[in-house]
Amino acid sequence: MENAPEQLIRQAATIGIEISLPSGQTLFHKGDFGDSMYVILNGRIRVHDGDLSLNILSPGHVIGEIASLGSLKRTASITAEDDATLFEINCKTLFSTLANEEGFTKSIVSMLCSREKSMATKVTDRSMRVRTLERELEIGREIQSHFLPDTLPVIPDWNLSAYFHAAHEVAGDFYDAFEIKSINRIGLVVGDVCDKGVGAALFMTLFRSLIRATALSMDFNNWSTAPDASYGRRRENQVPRNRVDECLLDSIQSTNNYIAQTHGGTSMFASVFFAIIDPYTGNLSYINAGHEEPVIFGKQQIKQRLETTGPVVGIFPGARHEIASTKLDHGDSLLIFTDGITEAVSESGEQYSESRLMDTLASYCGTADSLLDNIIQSLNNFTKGARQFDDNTILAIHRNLTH
Amino acid sequence: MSDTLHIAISNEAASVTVLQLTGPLDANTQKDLEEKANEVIDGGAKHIVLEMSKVSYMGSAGLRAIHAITKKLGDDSDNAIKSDDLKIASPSDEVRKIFKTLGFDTYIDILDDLDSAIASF
Repeated sequence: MENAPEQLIRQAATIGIEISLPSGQTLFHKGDFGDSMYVILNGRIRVHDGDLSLNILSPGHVIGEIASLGSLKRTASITAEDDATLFEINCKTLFSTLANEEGFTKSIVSMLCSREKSMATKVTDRSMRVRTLERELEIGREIQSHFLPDTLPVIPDWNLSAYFHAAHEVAGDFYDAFEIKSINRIGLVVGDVCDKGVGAALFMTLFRSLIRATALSMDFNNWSTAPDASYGRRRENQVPRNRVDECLLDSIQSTNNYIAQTHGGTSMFASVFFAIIDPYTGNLSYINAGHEEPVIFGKQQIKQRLETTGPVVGIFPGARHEIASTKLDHGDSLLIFTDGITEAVSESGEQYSESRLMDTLASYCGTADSLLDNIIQSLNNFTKGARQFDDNTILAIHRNLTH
Repeated sequence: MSDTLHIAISNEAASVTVLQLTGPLDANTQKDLEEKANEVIDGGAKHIVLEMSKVSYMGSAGLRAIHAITKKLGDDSDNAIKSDDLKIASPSDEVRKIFKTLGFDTYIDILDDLDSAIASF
């Protein structure tokens, strides 16, 4: 609202009436029609849209002129911040005065012009700020994409596939798949950092990196001597099971303790599922840290849900996680996903739900790639482009039927 | 469905402050709960019960708020042990399932009714 020149106030005084507006009282609401404009004489006036305060105006400011002069609805609500006195000018009176008073007309036009100029400057400033922020987020999105694997491991007799679709520019979900050469195994991780936006995205990079770096620390320590993974050819599995367990436990627990102790004040946590698979035998050991239960299925039926074996990662120092084991037979698939999939909503607000996901899985047999295509198609048919609220992540691994 | 969280404060026993929550506990209301809890803790509350029978939905942001309250109450030792100062009373089956799935039930007592929660300190 533009500060009215003194001349305008003086002239307005001849055609208006003084009204008082006690503290807390609303003069008009956004959307109302009204044919009066006001000049503040005393007290402070709050311009707001519901609970959102847009401005606080002091004596000398003009309010309500857009709706009254333009025959438009009020663009914001007006409430007295203190006991205030206003000068009310009815626009019918105003227009008849304008016809006879050239000086008054000039004052009004000049006030509106200078107001339009200041609005235009604000709009330009704001669009520049928005553009800078958008550019920053785009850079963030680009950098964050490098915290997901560029390619998935290629393993004879197995097929791996991943789907990742963020709800916003940056994501709190992550997945990972990597060879752990020191123990001749494949590591699979899916995680979901609580909360959304940039905060969750920063923690996503931390969780992903700590888990991967700890799981691969033996490989890194023996860079030159790490055995080459030769999954299909190796008849005997030489790696004792306790090294697999150690790798799972170390990765989850040191990540948990590091984040809980270093960043405990933020109360940020992630649900994480971390599995290590022996590609030769199909044996699978895992820790499910508060994550959606992954599912093993094959021969057109759901075989097993992999229940949680400990709490979420990152907020309970010294938390204990158990290791569970199972096996993928030939023809079996393992599907690891985040709740963004099961909680995806249709236009009517209904959730995709676990039961729909399970139905899709149970009616399916084939490779991980085509499985993911099936799920995404089923999900898209259900949501039909309704707004996506949460990140969607799926990691699937399939053991071929023939070997 | 309302999207605001209503928080009623009462002192049911000498040293126990009860926050009765009505509505969703999610990313939009997480700060409301944290701020209200901070107020009562700054006002001297040592033991808090969150009465959750009327919580219609709880998301992970709600769990962040609950964790932040346990920290504020001083349960921040380096070893994960059960919170002595914060208890949950009468959550719905769905809310209880979320506590269990995310493993919060190991660190925070969840009681079936308000009286046993108050008596549990």
